[in-house]
Amino acid sequence: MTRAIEPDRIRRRNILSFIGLILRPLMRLFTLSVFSPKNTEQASRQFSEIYSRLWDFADHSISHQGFDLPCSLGESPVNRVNRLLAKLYGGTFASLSLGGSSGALLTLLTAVMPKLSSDRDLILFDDACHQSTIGGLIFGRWKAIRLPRGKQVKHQTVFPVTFESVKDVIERHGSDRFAAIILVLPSYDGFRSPSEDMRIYDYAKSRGIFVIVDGAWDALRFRRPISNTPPLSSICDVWITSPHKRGLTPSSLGCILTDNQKIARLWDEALDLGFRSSSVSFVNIMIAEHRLEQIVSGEWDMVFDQAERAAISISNRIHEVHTDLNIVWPADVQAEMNDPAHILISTYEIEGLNARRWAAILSDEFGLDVEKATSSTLLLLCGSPAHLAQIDEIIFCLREALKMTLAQNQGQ
Amino acid sequence: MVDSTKDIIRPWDAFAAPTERLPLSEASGRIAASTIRQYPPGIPEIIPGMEYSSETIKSLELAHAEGSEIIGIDMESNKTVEVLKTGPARQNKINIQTYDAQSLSQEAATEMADYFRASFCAAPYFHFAFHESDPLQSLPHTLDFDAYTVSVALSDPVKRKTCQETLRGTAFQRALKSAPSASLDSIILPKGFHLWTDKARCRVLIQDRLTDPGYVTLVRHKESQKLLGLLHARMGTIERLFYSEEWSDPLIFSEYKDDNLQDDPVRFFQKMDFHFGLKPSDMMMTISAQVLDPDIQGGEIFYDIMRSMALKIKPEHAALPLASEIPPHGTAHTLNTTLNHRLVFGVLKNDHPLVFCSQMSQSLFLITSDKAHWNHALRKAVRDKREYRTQYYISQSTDHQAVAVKQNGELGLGVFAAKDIPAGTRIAVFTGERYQSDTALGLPEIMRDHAIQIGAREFVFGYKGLAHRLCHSCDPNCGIRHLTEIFAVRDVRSGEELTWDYRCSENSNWIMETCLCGADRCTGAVANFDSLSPDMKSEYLSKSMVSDWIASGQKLTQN
Repeated sequence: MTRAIEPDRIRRRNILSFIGLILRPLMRLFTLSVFSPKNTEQASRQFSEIYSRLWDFADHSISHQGFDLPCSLGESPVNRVNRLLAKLYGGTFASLSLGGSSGALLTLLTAVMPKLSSDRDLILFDDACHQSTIGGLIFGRWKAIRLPRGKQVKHQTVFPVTFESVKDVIERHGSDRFAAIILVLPSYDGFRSPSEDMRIYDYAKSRGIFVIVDGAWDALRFRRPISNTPPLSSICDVWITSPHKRGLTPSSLGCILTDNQKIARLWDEALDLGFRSSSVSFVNIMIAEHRLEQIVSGEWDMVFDQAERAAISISNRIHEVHTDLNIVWPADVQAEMNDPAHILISTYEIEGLNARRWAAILSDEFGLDVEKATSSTLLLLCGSPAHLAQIDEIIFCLREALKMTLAQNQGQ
Repeated sequence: MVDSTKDIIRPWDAFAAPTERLPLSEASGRIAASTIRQYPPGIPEIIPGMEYSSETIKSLELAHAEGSEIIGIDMESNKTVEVLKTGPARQNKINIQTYDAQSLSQEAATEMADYFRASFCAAPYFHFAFHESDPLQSLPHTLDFDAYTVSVALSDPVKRKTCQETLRGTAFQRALKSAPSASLDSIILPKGFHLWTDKARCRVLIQDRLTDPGYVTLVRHKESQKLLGLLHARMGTIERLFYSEEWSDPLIFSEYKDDNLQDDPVRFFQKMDFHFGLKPSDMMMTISAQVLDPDIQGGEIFYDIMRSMALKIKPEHAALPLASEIPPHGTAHTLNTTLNHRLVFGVLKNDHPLVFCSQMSQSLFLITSDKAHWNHALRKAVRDKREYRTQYYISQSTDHQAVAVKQNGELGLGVFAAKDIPAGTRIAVFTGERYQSDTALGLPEIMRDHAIQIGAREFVFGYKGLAHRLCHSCDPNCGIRHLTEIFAVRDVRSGEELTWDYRCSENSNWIMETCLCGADRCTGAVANFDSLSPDMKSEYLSKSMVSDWIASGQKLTQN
């Protein structure tokens, strides 16, 4: 049951009660930091108290202490966020997935695709698909064929998917059996070949096969209009991403885009039937709306620039870590381009170095987590503007951790 | 033959099946029941339904040794993984074997004969007996034999036919409600009647059939060796099969229901020649299934039975045309539906369809590829049939979505815009079998009527999709481009009928003598592109609404 509230009107008493409620724990926190700086346990409790009250205020929970929401949430904030996402990524229909991109893939494969392609039984999925795609294939009761990617042995990373490999599998089994192709673009290492992606989509379209792109790591694609990144409408029918992976929204919010009206309708039906919880946390939605509005209006452009410059700078200075370290560039893995924020460092030329060990030391000793490590590569994700100020520090950590790894090797 | 089925993973089947755990090092060749992934990054390398290979096992062991966290392998219990349990499936209880028919032993032939008898007797079946005046008319065991004897003596053929049909109909109804006696062989029938279940007679019949070249697939219980079902593919000249397979009265592509070919083999052979280019002395194959045991009925096992035969048939035999009487129900229905590219070219007196496929391999060999594909084909065939019944065509992905097929008075079915359609929009594409003009006369009329010309001697039979439902008009709002694609040449309003000028793709000697389009500039008859007036020709060419092959010819002529 919802208490009726007047929209678009913030009452003075609401502001005062809000300030009163937040001010008290803030004052306590200030006092603690001055007089008992070592009492971290109590300080953390005060932090929790502040978060709890903020959440109470924003989410209008049953434990609220007498204040109303500052503005109306009744006029579908989810729809407002959806509109912003459609504008940002350039799709006709956009929708938030409250279970992240994993939830979007599960919903799509278990509730949308079976109805959309009821006369087809096969799905071709990329070798690099996430666990949630496999879940979707299982619970959607699909028969599936894994699309193998070629592997660059030296750098232990996969080549982008090629049109020929897709065509080969589909024609071997009969194109009228395939409901969809699921691709991961870009690959986990950030590489992609847009011209192949477009050929695949053209081919699939001509055979009535839907192309679903898991672009979980491509949430900043709107930042690359001048590169040869093709528009979404020329590579897929459905595109899924995780805006939170690049800090655009709070975590757990995924996004799905499509130009296909039928898919959009089936998606809404699926959400209505329970794939979207009826008790949505509006705190996340409010934050997402606020941030996306800033991004759409260009307020974050400078922040993105900083992040990108940081990533490029780290790549350019990798030889300061070790002269035999190399960055893996698109040409090394037969790709046309890569995301600058994905820095794949090859340790191949340093004899006896296991990059997995290097990654473990970076994490254990320097608190720097890497996204992926194999025996000869290490993947750094530098998507944060803070990295611009931390370049020297990051280079230092990489260098010292590498020294420790090499020293351990010599010791052994 | 490349077996592509190995690529197909069935994740749900593996996820839901009984499982067991065993060490990773022993998992090679077993089917995974869970996902296994290295972290980071956490992309699954093994998913339910995938087979463990020794390479995968080595790579996982190496990654683990190098310090990767492997999610999905229980490191605490001797690196065990979850795999599917191997247990006796239904398929494992039976033995399916295909033999060369002429190499079958005497015992097997006798066993087959007794099996046929059992199948005829096991149910209220039409094949209980026959009268010598009409040996192809099977009679049920509940027939009033004395009354039937009287009917046989009637001199008026109409009265005789009516009387016999009534007696048979009543008997069939009774037979449906009563089980036949166990001692059918001991029944004494009036003079002139013979039992189909006569043991000796039935054995002779089967022996005779087995002298023809062919294949027999026998399905036996693994332990008891009891015969559970069989599939018989038999080859012979059309003439021989005609006389021994009871096909004497199909209405082959007949436009008249009473055009019965009974006792008229000459017309049967003429029609086979006309439609399929086959002479009475040409070889053909026929296939029949007999499955009694309920345990082996249904698609899954029947697929295995047919696959066994398809794998055994020699290529030269697989190239033969196939004609079979296949009832539209039961297990035989599965066979009927599976035969792709088939034509139901006749209906027998017992209402069983007689189907024809130009090559046995085109139809049956589909199943050698993949069971899932075969199941898919079955489902699709049923869906297509249902779809055709409701909307008069089987939709294709190339069809425009905002159109409807409706009756349009004496013109028959027509295609109408359900929304406004802008100029240049694709409406439909002729998709289907291509054939050369020199073979066209051998094809059924339905194929020739729904074909368009795509080259000087080439046609496409566009039976798939909406394209063949578009009517002709001498003042059309659609044209044809890229040989087969129908598109709107101007903006079409909602509710307007979509039409194209058939002459835009045609340059054969085809002619439609009376055009009913009703357009102000209707030319009365519709022939080929050359028959158009110069004004209409240049108008169509300027609007690019003429098939590419005709347009290019016109350009050459002008040059």
